[in-house]
Amino acid sequence: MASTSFMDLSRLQFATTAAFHMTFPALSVGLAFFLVICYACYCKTDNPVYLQMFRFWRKIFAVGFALGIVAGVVLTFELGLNWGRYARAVGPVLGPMICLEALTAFFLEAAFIGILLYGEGRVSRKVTMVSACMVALGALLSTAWILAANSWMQTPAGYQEVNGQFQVTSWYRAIFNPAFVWRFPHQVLAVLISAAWFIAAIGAYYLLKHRAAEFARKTMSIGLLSAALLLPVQLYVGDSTASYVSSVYQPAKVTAAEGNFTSGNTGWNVIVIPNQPQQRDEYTLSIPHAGSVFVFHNFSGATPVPGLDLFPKALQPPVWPTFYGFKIMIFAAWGMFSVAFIGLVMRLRRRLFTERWFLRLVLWTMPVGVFATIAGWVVSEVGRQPWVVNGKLLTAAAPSSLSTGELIATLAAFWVVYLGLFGAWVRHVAHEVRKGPDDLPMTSVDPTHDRPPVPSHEALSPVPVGSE
Amino acid sequence: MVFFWMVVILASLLAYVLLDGYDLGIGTLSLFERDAATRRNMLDVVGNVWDGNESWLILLAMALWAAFPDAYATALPALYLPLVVMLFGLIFRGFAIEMALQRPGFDRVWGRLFGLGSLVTAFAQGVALGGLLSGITVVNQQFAGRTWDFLGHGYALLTGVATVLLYAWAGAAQLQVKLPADERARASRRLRLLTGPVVGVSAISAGLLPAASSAPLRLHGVDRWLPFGYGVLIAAGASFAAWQFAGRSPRHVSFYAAVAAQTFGLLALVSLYFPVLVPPSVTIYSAAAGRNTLVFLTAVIGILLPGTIAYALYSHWVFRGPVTTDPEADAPLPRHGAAALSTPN
Repeated sequence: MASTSFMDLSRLQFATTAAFHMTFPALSVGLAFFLVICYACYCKTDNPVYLQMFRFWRKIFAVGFALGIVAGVVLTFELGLNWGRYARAVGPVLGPMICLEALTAFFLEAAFIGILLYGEGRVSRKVTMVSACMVALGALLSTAWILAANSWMQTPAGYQEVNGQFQVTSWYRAIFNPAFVWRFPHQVLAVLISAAWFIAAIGAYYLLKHRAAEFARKTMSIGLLSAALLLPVQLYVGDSTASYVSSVYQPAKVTAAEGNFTSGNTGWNVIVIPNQPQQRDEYTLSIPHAGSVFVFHNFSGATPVPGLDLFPKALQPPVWPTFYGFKIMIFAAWGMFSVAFIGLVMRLRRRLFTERWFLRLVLWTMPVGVFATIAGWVVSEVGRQPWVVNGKLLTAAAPSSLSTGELIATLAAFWVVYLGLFGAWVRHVAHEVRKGPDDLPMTSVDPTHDRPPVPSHEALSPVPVGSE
Repeated sequence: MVFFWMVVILASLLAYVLLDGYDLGIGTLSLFERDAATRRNMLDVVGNVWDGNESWLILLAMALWAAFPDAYATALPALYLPLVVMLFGLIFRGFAIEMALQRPGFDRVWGRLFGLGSLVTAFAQGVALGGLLSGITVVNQQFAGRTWDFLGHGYALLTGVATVLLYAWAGAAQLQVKLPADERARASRRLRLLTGPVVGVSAISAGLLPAASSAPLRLHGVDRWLPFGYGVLIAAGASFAAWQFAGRSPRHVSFYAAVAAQTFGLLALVSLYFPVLVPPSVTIYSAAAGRNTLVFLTAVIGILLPGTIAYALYSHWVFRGPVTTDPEADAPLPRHGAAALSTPN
C-alpha cells in the first residue's frame, strides 16, 4: 500500500491532465459534427457562406483537436506510469477496449483529418465531405470506447478475478455494462451541447459587433437550435443516469452528491458546508421537499434522501468535490436550458439577432457547457472513491511505486506546461475570432441594387475584416 | 497465441519507429535548416501525417497493456521520467505543428517548438529504450527499483543519441522525396553525412549492450545466431545502400533502404532478448493476459487492421509527391453558384 500523500500526488496529476484533456474533446467532438453540417449545407446549396463557416471553424477545430490528441496520449501512458498496480489488474479487460479505440477511432480520425484540414484543392468536394463525416464518426467511436472502459470501472460486469487480475468472461457484458448504456448518450449529449453553446456564443459576438452578418446569423441559429433540441433530452438522460445507474450501483456517490450526513432530510440541498471528519454539515441551505421530488420522483415530497451515515467513513467519497461538481453540472444544464428556450421563442418572434442583452448573455456564458462536462467527470470519478474499480479495487491499492520527488517534479511541470498551452490556445481562438472569417466575395445586401452586383476583381481577393 | 501477440507488439513498434521516426527526424532537422521556405515545407510534410503516425504509439502502448499487462505495469513506472519527458515532447510537437500550419508563412516560435519537441521526443524514446534494455528491477510483478535506475550508468544516454541520429537519418531520406526539387540537395547531403554517425553510434550501443544489460544475452542455438547474423548484415548493407543512393535517382531507394535497416536492426535486437519482454525477468509467457483476452484481441485486430492500413495508405496517397502550395486552400471563397467551376479535376 502506498502512503496517502504519495497517492494523492498521482491522483492530483491524473485529475489535472484529465480535466485539461477533457476541455478539448468537449468542444472538438461537437465541432466535428458542426463542420459536417456546414459542409453538407454548402454542397447542397452552393451558398458560399457555408464554406465561409466551414473554413473559419476548421481553423478553431484543428488546434483544439491536436491538443485533445496529445493530451489524450498522456492519459493512456499515465495509466501505466502512475497506476502500475491498477494497470496490471485491469489490463486484460480495459486494455482491449482502448486498443479498439485506437483501431476504430484514432486511425480513422488520423487518416481523414489530414484530408479535411489540408486536402482542399487536392481532393473533390465529395471526398472532403466523406472525410468530415469520418472524422466525426471517429470522434463518436472514441467517446464510445472511453465511456465503455470508464463505465466498467463504475459498474464492473462480465469478469472473474484470477490471481488479483480481472479476466473477462463475457465481452458483451463487459462492454455494454450497466453504466455504459446511460453514460454514453449522456456524454455525447454533453459534448455536443458544450460545442453548440460555444458556437452560438461566437455567433453572438459577431452579431454584437455587426460583422459578417450572414455568417453570424447562421452560426448563432445552428448553435442555439442544436442546444435547444439537445438540452431537454440531456435533462432526461442525465436524470436517468442518476436514477438507474448511480442510485442502484453506486449509492454512496448519490449520497455524497446530495450532501446529507443523515438520512432524514426530504429537502434538496443547494448549499452545504460539509465537515466530513465530524460527519456533519456545518451549514445547509435546502429547498423543502424538493429532494424527494428530484431524487425519487416522489411528488408527495415525503421520501427522505439517504445520507452518508449509511456507509462506513472509510468508504465514503469526499463530499466537497462530489457535491459541488454535481450542483455545477445541474445548474449549468438548467441555466442553458432556460436560455436556449428563451432564444427559441425570440427566434420565432424574429428578435433573436437584435436583442443585445440576450446576445451578451450567450457570449459571456460561452464556456459553461465545458464547465458542466468537467464538473460531471468530477462527480463520476471523485464520487467513485475510495474505489478505482467500484467495489473491487481500492484506489489505495492501485499506484506504482514512484518517489515523491519525481511526482512533485512532473506534477509541477504538467501545471506549468498545461497553463501555458491553454493560454496559447485561448489566444489562438481569440486571434482567429477577432480576425474573423474570410470575406464573402460580395455583399449580400446592397440597398442600391435589386440583385447583388457583379463582383469586381478586388472584391475576390481576401481582405481581412475589421481591425486588430 | 502468446508468440503471435509478441509479433503484433513488435509490428506496432516497428510501424511506429518507421513512421513517426521519420517525422520526428524531420522535426529535428528543421532546427538545423537555415532557409525559412524549406522549414515551412518540412512542416507541411509532417503536418498531414503526424497524428496518424503517432496513433501507432498509442496502439503499441495499448496492445502491450492488453496482451502483456505485467510488462506494461512494470516497464512504465520504471521508465517514468524519460516517458513523461517524451510526452511533453509529443505535446509540444503536436500543438506547435497545428499552430504553425494555421498561420501563413513560417512562424518562428511555433516552428522552433516543433523542432525542439521532436528532438526531445526522439531523445527520450532512446533513453527509455536504453533503460529497458539494460534491465528493470521487478519484485512481485511490480517495479521495485529507484527513480534514476533507467540511466544504466549512462548507457541510456548513448541510446538516446543513437535514436536521435537514426530518426534524423530517416527524416533526411524522406525529405529527399518530399521536398520540392530545388530543396532536395541539402537533404541528400545530410543523409550522406548522417550515415556514418548512425552506423557508428548504433554499433557502439550494440557492443556495450552485454556490459550494460542485466539480462543474459544469448546467441547459442541456430534460432538465435542465424536471425541475429542476418539482421546485422542486412541492416549494415541497407545503411550502405541508403548512403550510396543519397541524391541519386530513383529517390525513394534511400528511404526504403533506411526502412530495411531499421527493420532488420530491430530483428537482430529481438533475437538477442527473446522471449524476454522486460529484461531481465518478465517474459512474454509470464506477462501474458488470459487466453480470453488474447482471443478477443486477435479477432478484433484481424478484422480491423486491414481497414486501418487501407485508409492510412489512402491518406498518404492523397498527399503523395512533393509538397506544394495548395492551390485552393488559401483561395478566396467562390461566388454563389460558382462552386462547380472551382471543383478540381
